[in-house]
Amino acid sequence: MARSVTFELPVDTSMFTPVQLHARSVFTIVMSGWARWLREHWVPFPRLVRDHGLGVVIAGLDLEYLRPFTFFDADTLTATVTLRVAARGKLLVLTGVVAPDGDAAVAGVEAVLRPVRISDGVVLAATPTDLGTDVLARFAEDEVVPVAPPRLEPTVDELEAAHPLVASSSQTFTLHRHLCEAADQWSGIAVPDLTTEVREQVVSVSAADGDALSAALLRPMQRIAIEFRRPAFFLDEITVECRAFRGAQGPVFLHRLSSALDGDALATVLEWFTPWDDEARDGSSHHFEQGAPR
Amino acid sequence: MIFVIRGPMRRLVGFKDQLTVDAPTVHEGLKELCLEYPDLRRVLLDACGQLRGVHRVAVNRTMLDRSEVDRSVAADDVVELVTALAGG
Repeated sequence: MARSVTFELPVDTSMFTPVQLHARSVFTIVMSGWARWLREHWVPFPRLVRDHGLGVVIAGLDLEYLRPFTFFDADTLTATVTLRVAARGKLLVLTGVVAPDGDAAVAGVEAVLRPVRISDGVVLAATPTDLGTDVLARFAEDEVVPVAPPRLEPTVDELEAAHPLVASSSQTFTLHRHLCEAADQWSGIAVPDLTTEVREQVVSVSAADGDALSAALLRPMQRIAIEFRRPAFFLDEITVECRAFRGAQGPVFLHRLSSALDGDALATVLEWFTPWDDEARDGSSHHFEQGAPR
Repeated sequence: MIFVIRGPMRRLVGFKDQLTVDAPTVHEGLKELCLEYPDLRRVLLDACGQLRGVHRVAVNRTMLDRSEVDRSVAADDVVELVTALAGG
C-alpha cells in the first residue's frame, strides 16, 4: 500500500469563508502533508533541498470540495496525504484527503510536483530534473503510476466552445512577499488569493447576468484546478484575466495569468461553482470515490 | 551596459532597478557586477567564473545562448539577467 501520513489539526476561523474552507487553507494542509511525508519516509524537506540539492515546483493543483462543510461543523480535521511517482520520475503526485474526525471527507486534493535540481543554496535557482534511479528505488511498485495526470487545456477548450461567456475582467497585481515562498518565487498555493479577487470583481460589476454569477458569492466553490506553466517572482507584475461562463450546472470562471511585462503565460485556473441542492447532491467527484482517490 | 536583474537575485543587488557597468563584453560586465556584489557572484558564476546554466542573459530583449556571453555591448545596451525557476 502506498505510504501516507495522517495528521490532525484543530479548526480555526481563518481557515474558512462563511460557506467553506478557503482553497488556500486546503492547499496549505496538503503541502504540510508533503513536508511530513518527507520527514517520515525520506529526509526532512530542508535537508532534501540543502544537502541533496533536490526540490520541487508545483505543476498543478486540483481541489474538489466533496460535501458542504463550514467552521461550525467539526472541531478537528484529519488530513491523509499520499505520495506517488509518475511519468517515469518526471513528476510526483500528492493526494490529500481532508475529513472531520470520524466522518466522510470534505475535500480532496491532487498536487502535481515537478522535481528540480537546485544549483545554489542562496536563491535556490533550479532546473527541472527527473528523479534518478537511486531515488526511484525508494518507491514501491504501488507507489509508481505510469502516466502523468491529464492537462487542463482540453477542459478549457471544451468550456470555451460549449458555454456562453457572461462577463470578463482583468486586473494587474504586483507580487508581494505575502504571495511568495522561501525562494522569493510565487507560492502556487497563493494563486487562489489572486483569482478570488478578480472573480469577485467580475461578479460584483456584472450587469448582464448577475443572478447566475451571484452563486459564486452565495454558494460554495465546487472545484478549483490550476495548471502552472512558468513561475513569477517577488515584485513581478501579473495580469489575471477572468472570463465567466454559464456552465451546465452553474457559473465557471476561467483565469489566465500572464506576465504584465512580456505577456508570457504563467498559469491557467478553472473554478466551478454549482448551485448545489445539498440534499440532492450525489457525491460524484472528478478524482475521488467515497472520499478516497480513484 | 545597463544591467536589469529579474527574479530571486534582485535582493542580492539591494533591489536596485538598474545597474550601470562599464565593460566591453557581457561576460566582462558580469564579472564587474560580481566584484561589486560578492553575494551575486556565488549565485551567478560557477567556480571557473562562468555563468551558471540556470540563469539566462538577454541583451535588448534578445536571449543569448551561453556561448554568446562574450559578445560586445554598447554603453546603452540593456542586459537582463533572468532566473527561470527556483526550487524548494
